Amino acid sequence: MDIRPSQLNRAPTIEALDVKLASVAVARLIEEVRSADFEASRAYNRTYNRHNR
Amino acid sequence: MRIDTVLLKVASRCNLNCSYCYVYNMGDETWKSLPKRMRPETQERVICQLGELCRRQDHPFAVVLHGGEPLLIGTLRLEELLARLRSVLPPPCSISIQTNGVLITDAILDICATHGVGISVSLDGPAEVHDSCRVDRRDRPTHAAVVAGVETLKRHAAADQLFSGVLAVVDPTSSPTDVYGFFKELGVPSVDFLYRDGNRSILPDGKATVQSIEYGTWMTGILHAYLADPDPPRIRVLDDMMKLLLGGSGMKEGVGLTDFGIAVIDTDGSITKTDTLKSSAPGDRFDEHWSVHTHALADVVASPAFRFYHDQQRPTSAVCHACPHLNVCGGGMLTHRYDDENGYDNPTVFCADQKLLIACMTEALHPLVNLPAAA
Repeated sequence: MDIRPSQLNRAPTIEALDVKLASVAVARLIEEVRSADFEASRAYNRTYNRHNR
Repeated sequence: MRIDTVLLKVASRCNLNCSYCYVYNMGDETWKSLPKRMRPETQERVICQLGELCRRQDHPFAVVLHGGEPLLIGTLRLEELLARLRSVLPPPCSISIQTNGVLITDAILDICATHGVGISVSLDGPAEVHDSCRVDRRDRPTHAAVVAGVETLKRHAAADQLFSGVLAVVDPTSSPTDVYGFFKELGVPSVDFLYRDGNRSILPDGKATVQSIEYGTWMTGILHAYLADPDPPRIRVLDDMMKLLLGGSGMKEGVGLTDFGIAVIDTDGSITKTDTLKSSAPGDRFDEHWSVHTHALADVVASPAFRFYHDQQRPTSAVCHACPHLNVCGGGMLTHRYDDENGYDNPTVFCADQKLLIACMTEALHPLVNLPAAA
């Protein structure tokens, strides 16, 4: 069973992302999602590393 | 399918003896029969094969020196290894070290800076939290030595490039406010909080039942501190989950539904499954013994058996498939889904915890993210 398409239906619109939130952490994430910033992962300097330990 | 991460087990032993360690203290004893350090001839085979994988794969990947404690190989071996690795894995491939921090020296940091290598330190929080589990082989506390290592790292001229952040294992009986405040005061650039390993048959420490929410409750404490912080560090697990809620993508294994590709190379050159499976199913190995001495890593990765292992990360449980939070939770880490009856065909043992955390995130992100309809 391919679960992905049916599970990806809650993404907000770009317009919704224009709503400003007070949280610095959230504002940072909104900007990264808005710009589809894959390189933002460099903020952790663990680029491509997906291991959870 | 592609590889994102290769864990390179350059040392099979550790100078610490953390009570919750999935390598040594959760039933798997493979380490006892492995060479203590990766031998030079094995190391050279690994380096050549990683270079070949890099050439054959159309996407960069990360190599993480892991153990055991990788810094046990010593400064000279480390310098030789990193120079050779970087010669076959130029940027944007990343090379990093996951260390307990006790053996960090300026000489090691200089070497890492020269070769563009990031360092992540395992540190659980304030001394009373950290030292309750992370002790040395004589049962002595290690917090002071680890913090000294972190301070050495922070003082280095290339600290911004070198210091990836810390990995902290959650103690759900501790104060999340105190733990968050500790990391803020220490000035770490990022923190990734990890749940203690366990599964539905052997519950993680601190979790009373499968339905209980000790970990979720603790993480909501971290979430609230994070969202209120005017100058927050990065918290990888929270960032990943909130980005998924916001319609973006996550990076972390065990969160979201994007496939990850992780291969492990042991000190003897064996190519094995992701090491966290040791905590749930110590005997879970590939049927065929693959080694860099006898097989090409790129061929192993392309094999049907490796594909089967890779695809196991996709949740199969009917409960997960019916869950509105699956695109964020991702069914959790494979090892946390295990039970003796159904194998991995279950929701994560942290299902209730993740539901609580996602509900708190959703509320915090409203109106960016729709609140769930009332039942």
